[in-house]
Amino acid sequence: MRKFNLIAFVLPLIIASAAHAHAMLDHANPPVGSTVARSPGQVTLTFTQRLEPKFSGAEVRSASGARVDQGKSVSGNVMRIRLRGLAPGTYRVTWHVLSVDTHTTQGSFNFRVGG
Amino acid sequence: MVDWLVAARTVQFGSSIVAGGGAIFVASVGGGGRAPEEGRRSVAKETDGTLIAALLAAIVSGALWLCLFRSQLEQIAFPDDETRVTLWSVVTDTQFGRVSALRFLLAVLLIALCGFRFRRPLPRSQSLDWGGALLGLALVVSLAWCGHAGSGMGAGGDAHVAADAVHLAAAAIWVGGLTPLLLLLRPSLPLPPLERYGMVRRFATLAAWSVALLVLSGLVNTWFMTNSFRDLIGTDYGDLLLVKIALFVVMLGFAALNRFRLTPRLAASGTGGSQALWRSVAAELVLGLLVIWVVAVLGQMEPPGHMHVGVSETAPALDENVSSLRGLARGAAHGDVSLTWLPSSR
Repeated sequence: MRKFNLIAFVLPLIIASAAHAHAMLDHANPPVGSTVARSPGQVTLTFTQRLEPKFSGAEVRSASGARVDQGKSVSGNVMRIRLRGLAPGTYRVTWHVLSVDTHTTQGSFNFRVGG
Repeated sequence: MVDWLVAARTVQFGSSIVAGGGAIFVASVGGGGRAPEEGRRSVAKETDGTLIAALLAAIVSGALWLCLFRSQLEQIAFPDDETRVTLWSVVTDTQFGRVSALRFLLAVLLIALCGFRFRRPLPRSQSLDWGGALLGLALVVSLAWCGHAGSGMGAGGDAHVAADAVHLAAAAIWVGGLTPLLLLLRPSLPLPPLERYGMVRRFATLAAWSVALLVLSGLVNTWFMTNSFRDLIGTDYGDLLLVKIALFVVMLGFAALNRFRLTPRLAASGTGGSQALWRSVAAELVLGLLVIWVVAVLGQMEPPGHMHVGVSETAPALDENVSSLRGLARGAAHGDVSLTWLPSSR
């Protein structure tokens, strides 16, 4: 038991500066997989790390594949994507980000407008 | 096959630590008003050439790292993105690029300082030595903004990057200081035994404080990383980490041997003692460089505490995938999605 405690104590000392993580989507608005009653003016994506604005982006497409996004803004760990007025239907948000620690991640999710 | 990113990171970390730690050594151990003029003269003469070589290696490996980063960005950009991934845009539009540019400047300034000091007639200027030490310290500490610690937010992010900076500085003072120490312990160097002994004692005191700082800053960093020890068992990352721990422990063993057995012998036996200590310090330095290589490899692997989250897209009720940790957690709680934890296999 004492041996285990010693290892558990020393181990973190060594890993400290070596470990890294990627920027993951913490939450979104409209939320991931949600249904909203009316067309949202923008999609807000909040990540777990600070982003590099120029190398982070997202696109929003309708079920038919048409793009409905109108530009982005990035501040800290938050990315906002402006939208056109959305007709009822399913939309897919596809994002790719570069966190300031040089790691890239990407992902996508859907949300619905209207019943 | 050579992993060029790991190679560039290894050389970058190693050369920065050798150059930064070496510059600090010259000012604090080899100078600072406590060393006799003869000793200080030898320190600069013997170490400046090595410092310049290390700084050139830092510049070359830094440029390679930057180019590899640019290639990585080119591969992930959306085809319809207007952003053009040029080296200039990487330097001006990313934190890594800006910090790298600053580090190039620091390296060039330190090369100029070492070159000037090497050619300058005596007496040597202590303020020049301390100026070099500050440049060296900045070169090492700025590495903290090139990695994960530099990506945090708020007060927690600031504390993490501060702990990482202290960690790097302490590593440089200890491991980086071993290089000039090794040069000055060469038995062929005509340095009086007592001066050699005084230098080793001053370095030992500095290194002991560095080890204490390494431990403390390591604990703080760990608090931010919050990896679980159990997750490390049976993964490539964990295995490599155990190798690093073993190297670290053996390094401490050599440091203790040098401090408590071989250094006292140095004062008593002169050249003979110097030879034994030289061999032991060489072994300690090799182990330190191996630790740096392991750090460079580990930095490219996904720690088990940060495993990827995968989820089936066949969740018609929720119609969502990957992306949101909270969304996934909610989905899992409601049974709409299944979570699969995938440990890194690299």
